[in-house]
Amino acid sequence: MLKTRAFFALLLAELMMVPMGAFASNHREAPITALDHKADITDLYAFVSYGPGQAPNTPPSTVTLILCVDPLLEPANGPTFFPFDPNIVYAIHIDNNNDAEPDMTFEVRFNTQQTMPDLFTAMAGAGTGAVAPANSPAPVAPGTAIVPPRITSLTSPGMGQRQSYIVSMVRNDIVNRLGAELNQTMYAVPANIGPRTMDYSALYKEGTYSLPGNVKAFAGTVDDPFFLDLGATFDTINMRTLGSGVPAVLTDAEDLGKENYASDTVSGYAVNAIALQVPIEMLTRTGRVEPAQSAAATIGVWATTSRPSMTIRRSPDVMLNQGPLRQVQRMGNPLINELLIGIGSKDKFSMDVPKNDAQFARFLLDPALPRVVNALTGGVVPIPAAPRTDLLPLVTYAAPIAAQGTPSGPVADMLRLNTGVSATAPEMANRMGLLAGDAAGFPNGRRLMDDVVDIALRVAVGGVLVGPNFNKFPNNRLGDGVNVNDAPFKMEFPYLAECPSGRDRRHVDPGEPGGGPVK
Amino acid sequence: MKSFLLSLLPALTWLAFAPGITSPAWAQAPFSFEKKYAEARAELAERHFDKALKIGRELNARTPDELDYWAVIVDAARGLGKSDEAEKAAQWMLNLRPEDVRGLERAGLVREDLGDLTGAEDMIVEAYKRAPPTDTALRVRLLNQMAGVFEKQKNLPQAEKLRKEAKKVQAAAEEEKKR
Repeated sequence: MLKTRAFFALLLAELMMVPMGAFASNHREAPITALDHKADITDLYAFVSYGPGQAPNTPPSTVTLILCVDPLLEPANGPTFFPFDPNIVYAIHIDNNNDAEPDMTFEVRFNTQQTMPDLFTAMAGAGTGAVAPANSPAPVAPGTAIVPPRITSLTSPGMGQRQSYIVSMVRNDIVNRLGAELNQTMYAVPANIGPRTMDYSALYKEGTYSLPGNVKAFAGTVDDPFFLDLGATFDTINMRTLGSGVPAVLTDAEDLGKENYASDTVSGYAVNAIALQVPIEMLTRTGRVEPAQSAAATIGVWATTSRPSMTIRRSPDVMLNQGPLRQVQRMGNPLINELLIGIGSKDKFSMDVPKNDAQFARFLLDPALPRVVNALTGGVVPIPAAPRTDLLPLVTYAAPIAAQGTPSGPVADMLRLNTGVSATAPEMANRMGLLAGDAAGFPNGRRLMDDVVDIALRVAVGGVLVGPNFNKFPNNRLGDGVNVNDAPFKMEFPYLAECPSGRDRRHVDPGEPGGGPVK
Repeated sequence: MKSFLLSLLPALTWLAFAPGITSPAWAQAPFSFEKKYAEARAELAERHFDKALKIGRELNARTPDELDYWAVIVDAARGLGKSDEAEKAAQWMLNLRPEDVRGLERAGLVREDLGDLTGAEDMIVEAYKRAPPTDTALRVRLLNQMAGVFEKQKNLPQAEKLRKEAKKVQAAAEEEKKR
């Protein structure tokens, strides 16, 4: 426990103290994704599924995997809004035998259909529809349908731009389309254009699909689940001064509060999300739900976005081969690429595979950020000596996430999830996750409500693994004052909050109600 | 505790052999990328491919996102007949920046080495489309490269046409300089 706590504390401290080009959590963290917005992975979540009113120690049964891409979408930004890119293969990979290689992969591919190509906007609707009035100029005759009825279904006529998708599971090079036997078209939920145009809640509900084998799927534009004071962070860590009177230091009450004391910069913005809920038996190497003490209970999870590749060596028969893919980005743990990897290696990191991460060791074991913190504070914030072996538990299978006896495997950036640990009931979950003793929280997987910014800040500065010299006040009260998401998460799959309405969305700024102080 | 430490053994072994951990990557001794890169290009010009490759690998290890350093590896490896290394480096250039003229140009050269002449044509054409009109040296080089591909295909009239065009571009650029 201590080792993992220290590791994350270190990472977080780094995050707080240094200006970063991309942080929210993974918005535009590398040059290649700054150029390729659609392939930019913002966040990856993996957790044992839970439900409302869940009793303690409910046996785990399914895992929820959520991949978010395409950051900081302004919901009002029409007329084409935010389709997934049909040229991208979105994938979530699972390692279940500790070798950091994919034992199974869930691939999601989209297809776009335009049904109202002559209309100026992708989606339109109002009431029961509108027709040309009596004074309609020729050649449109009075009574001609002009505006379709309000969109209440993913197949409503007003859905002029509609995306369908398929989910495939790849295991042992065999590709199986999930839900193929249903012969059902799954549609992505569009952005919430506004209340006149659509009943977004109805679309969200309709777009949550139950497939055979106790699998669920969702894809669509939703509220961005990440929460932080991004503006203060980018201003060279110019955090707000809250109740303690010291910037970036929370009072005990603020630390425990389930509300925000500073502006959630991501409030009112949307993101594109893909969510899957799959039985644990499908994920473990034994094909069973393993107890938390089992070496087979912990899986590694990472996500990638890939595009078709142009290759030097051409296939002898291109028509018979799908062609190789070029990985644009990957993500396991939040904040690794943006906080640790040097700017001249970020694209290589994004495009490589976890099992090759030893090549980035020099960034991991003596990262720049703690030293910058140490320097900026004139030594007031002490930092542990290099090499930072305390960081190893984040990138290997190790306690307290993995059971004793689990092979540590190669150093690899993956989100590790012990599938045998029961989910915490949502009303009891602690935003500080494992650091606060909530065993189902980050870094044991990652839930939507986990405050990875504050966790990382404290791990980085606190150096919990290293000892009490680094785990003390004010280090253990560091935070940005943004403790919760601006929109409440749902209590059941896909858990994500609904997309803000483009017409009525609100970005909560500093100085506004709910936005905390400007200073 | 013992079993925990044993479970970490592979990772700790990695740690022992990890490159650069005794000296932080961001605070290493002063290293001039520009100077090293200039050295590499000079070695290439002198056809000292082994020296150029060594510098290219060093630059690449420090900044693997920089296409110019991958290009040094491609050029030097081709000079040494290390076709595998040249191909891998050129592929990384395409992967990192699929639209970049430097990668397309190298991909064309490697395809030509592999005997894929029509494939080389495709890459050179794509590179030429993206060549800035003001970069005369690049345009001349690409035109001559394409001419060479046509010569290998025994399409001598087309090759001659491109050689003439290359001379024309070069002459126009020199005329422009005089003004």
